[in-house]
Amino acid sequence: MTDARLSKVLGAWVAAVSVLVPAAERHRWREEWHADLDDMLASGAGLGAVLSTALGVAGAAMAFRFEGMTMDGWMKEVLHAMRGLLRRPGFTVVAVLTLGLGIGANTAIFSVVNGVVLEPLRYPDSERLVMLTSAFPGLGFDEFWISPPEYMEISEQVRAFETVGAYNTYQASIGADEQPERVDAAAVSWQLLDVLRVPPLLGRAFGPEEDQPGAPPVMLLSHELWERAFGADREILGRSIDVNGTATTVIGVMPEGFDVNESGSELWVPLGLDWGNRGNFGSHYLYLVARLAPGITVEAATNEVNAFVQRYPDEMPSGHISPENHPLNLVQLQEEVVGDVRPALMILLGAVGFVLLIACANVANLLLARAQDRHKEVAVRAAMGAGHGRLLRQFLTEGIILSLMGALLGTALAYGSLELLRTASPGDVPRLSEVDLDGTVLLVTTAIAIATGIFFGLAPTRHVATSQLASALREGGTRSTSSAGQRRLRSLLVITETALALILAVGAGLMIRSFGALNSVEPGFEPAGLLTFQIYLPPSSYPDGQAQLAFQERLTESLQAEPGVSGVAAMSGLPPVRRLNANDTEFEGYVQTQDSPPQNVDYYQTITHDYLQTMGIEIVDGRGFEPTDDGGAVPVALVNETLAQRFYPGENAIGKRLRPSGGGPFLEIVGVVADVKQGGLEQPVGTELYFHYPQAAALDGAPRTMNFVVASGGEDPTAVAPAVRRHVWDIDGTLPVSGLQAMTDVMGDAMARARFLTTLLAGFAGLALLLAAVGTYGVMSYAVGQRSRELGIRMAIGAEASRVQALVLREGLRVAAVGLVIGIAGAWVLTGIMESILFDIGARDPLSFAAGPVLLTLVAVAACWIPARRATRVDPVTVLREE
Amino acid sequence: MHSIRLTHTTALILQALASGRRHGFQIMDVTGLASGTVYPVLRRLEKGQAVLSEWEDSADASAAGRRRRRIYRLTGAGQLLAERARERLAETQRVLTDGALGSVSGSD
Repeated sequence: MTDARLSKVLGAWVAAVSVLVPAAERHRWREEWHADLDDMLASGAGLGAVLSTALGVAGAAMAFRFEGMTMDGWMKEVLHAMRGLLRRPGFTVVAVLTLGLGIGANTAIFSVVNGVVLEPLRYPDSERLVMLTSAFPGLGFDEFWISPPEYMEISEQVRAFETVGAYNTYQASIGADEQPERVDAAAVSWQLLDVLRVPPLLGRAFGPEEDQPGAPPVMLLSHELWERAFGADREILGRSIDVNGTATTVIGVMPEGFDVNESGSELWVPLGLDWGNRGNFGSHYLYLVARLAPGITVEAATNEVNAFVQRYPDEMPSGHISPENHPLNLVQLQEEVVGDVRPALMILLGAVGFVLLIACANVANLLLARAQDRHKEVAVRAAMGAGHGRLLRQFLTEGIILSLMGALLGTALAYGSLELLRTASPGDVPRLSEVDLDGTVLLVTTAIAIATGIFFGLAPTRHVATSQLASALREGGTRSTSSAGQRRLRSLLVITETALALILAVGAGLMIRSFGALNSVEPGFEPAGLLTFQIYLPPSSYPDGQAQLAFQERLTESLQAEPGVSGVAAMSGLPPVRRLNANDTEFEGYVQTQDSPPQNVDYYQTITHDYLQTMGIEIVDGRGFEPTDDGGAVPVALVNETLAQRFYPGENAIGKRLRPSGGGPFLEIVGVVADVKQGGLEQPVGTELYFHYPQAAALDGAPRTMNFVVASGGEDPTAVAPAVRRHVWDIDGTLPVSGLQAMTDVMGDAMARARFLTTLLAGFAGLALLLAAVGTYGVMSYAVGQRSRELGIRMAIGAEASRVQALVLREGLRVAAVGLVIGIAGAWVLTGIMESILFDIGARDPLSFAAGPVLLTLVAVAACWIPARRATRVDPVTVLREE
Repeated sequence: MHSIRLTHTTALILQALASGRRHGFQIMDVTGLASGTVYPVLRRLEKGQAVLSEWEDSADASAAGRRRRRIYRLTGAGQLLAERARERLAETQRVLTDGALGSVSGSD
């Protein structure tokens, strides 16, 4: 490149960097630098030296721009700003607290939403995982389990899936000789581990050879179980542990946090399906998780599954699957896990967003008010020579410091509340353990806060022009009056806050009503004073029904002898939340037509004869079970009202006979029992069939897991808990006693999620109300201060204090009223999205819609009251003298 | 005047100017300092009224076939400052050679 050319390039470079130089000096330095660089070229300096000098010139330009903004310069600004903020502690505290609450609440909730709903599941390529279920539209079952032959056929024939895994959950007792413990477990097909693709931490997963009926029992442990029950013993592999009475070898330990589809299982054994046996089509108990084949989308897979279901009745011998009677469903696994809880979380997110908006509006108002106050100070400073830039810098610094302090507080609050959420949350919010403080969200909310701080913090400098300064100084007085524009802006902010707070209040009101409705649902039994626990009888020690019966009778007798115990009973299922049985049942003489309900009973319940009395369940017709209904007597059954009405409408169910499908003796219905909630408190009651324990045992049909209830009539049902354990272990020391808790706790768990949501939403509404009140108070208080002269004059010429007070109140409430109207309209529109989480209450519930505005009006009146009173205290003499 | 911090680089630049009028490139050449250092110091000295700068005569520049340079010279106050700077530099020199910081020649 010739020197002339290079000179031109350097000239362009100099022109570019000169942009950084303050305007007044720009031209001079640009010429000087170009000249000096040319000189350097001409002097024969090397290209490298010239370029490095050119670079240095850019550095010089930057130094010019930021001169005065050296490190000490900034430090002085910061200290000055902090001193200014400390001189007004009320303002500072309110601003920082407001910002902190807004930022903290938002960060916490969004972190939860992010961790639970948005983040992909913790399996490799988890978006390629789908869940398969079946449906029985005729029986009203939308999401039902899958039977082994169905699983096998899907595996073999649907090519959209690379691998299909199956699992079944149950409860296992482990470690009989050491510390017997009851854990949630899952029996999984070896393919499932392949589908999930999470390698074990220690050892290996089991393969096809081990997943065979009759293969030597092996198992995988969860990390948590390994640590808890086996002390993270590195020599655990190969050890034989007793699981439900069977010696099982540990072949692997899974990594921390691993779970099969949020089942809470801690132990995995092979499913052991017999792929040669395709007989048990009716036995639906498997969950299926499949991995899509490479390149296949969820839609393509869904289409292939539907096609499979379509051609099934024609092509497959069993004809079990069909589009009308028994179709299959496919859903992405993530959707399956979080779909249920997403609406609630999104609503919370909306609520907390409102809180942030209110917080920002409050801070804006605060800063505007402060800006007004400092107008005089700004004028003086400007007159004394502070450049526009310096003033800008000062207020900028203040605004940023406030925002940063707010952000700091917000982070601390977010962190703390996440901890709280994790411990206090109901067990059924999935993936809560994966939730972490989200850095992105914190940054975003902080940025919003900083933007607010900057925008409104700079308000005082906006009108700094020499002419205005002169007039400002001339005006005198201790305050300047705000322009109409600023007054309007403040009113607008108050209206917005009021409207948002009202929407939240209505939403919270709906949640509270919904929770109240859930709370008053009659479960059908009396939980007070009852203690419940669960025992599993392993087949190794209790090989048949007689052995089980003997244990149950012995324990019942033993517990009844305990002082303080007024009743003992046992049953197979624990209300109010039970797993659906959906058992095919044969009703004698039943005529099955197109419209009549299919012969299927939702819940089977095996009970001891004291069950109804101990649980406080009413007998509606006939009788309950008697001790005489034993193995040698006529088999009898009880039904609940729903079953009687569904299958014997208009008739008497007593005397009718039925039996579980598959043969065996018919049972005679001897009593109709009041309905008991089984599918949760918010679900309608299903059909229920009761068996008497001794008779079930005689037929070897007694369930191995028994729930016991002990009525002790005292204040604290758990007082007998130690005695219960003692009695159990006196009979058999190897049996773990699990689920030992008061029945009222079981009820509480059933409502846990509703309570959680209600508490949070009410909390946010309360916060919003508080912030809106503070904001309204601030604005009103300020407005009164502005008008002190006018009000003083009014009172001086004879206006009564009460009239002045009324005047101020009226003006304040007028603004609030506008906010209320907008808020009601907004609430009307927005509460529709809450439909899915409300129980028994419509989203337009009139009581909530009435209570909200009333509450907010009270808040507005309270916020305006003090300033209104203060208005009457204005001393007309003082005010007029200030002229 | 006391607002101008007498750093080592400032002292060098004052010395360079004490021996005559110079423009930026010459100062860089004489002192061996980089452009990123020299220009900010010059600007500060000018604001502190220790130096004055002006464009060289355009006629002289075009005669020599170059852009006009910006020439710097010391003011009276600047000369006093340069004097202080010289003393300071000499002091530093003395400290180093007298071995107050320990001998370099290893005569101990």
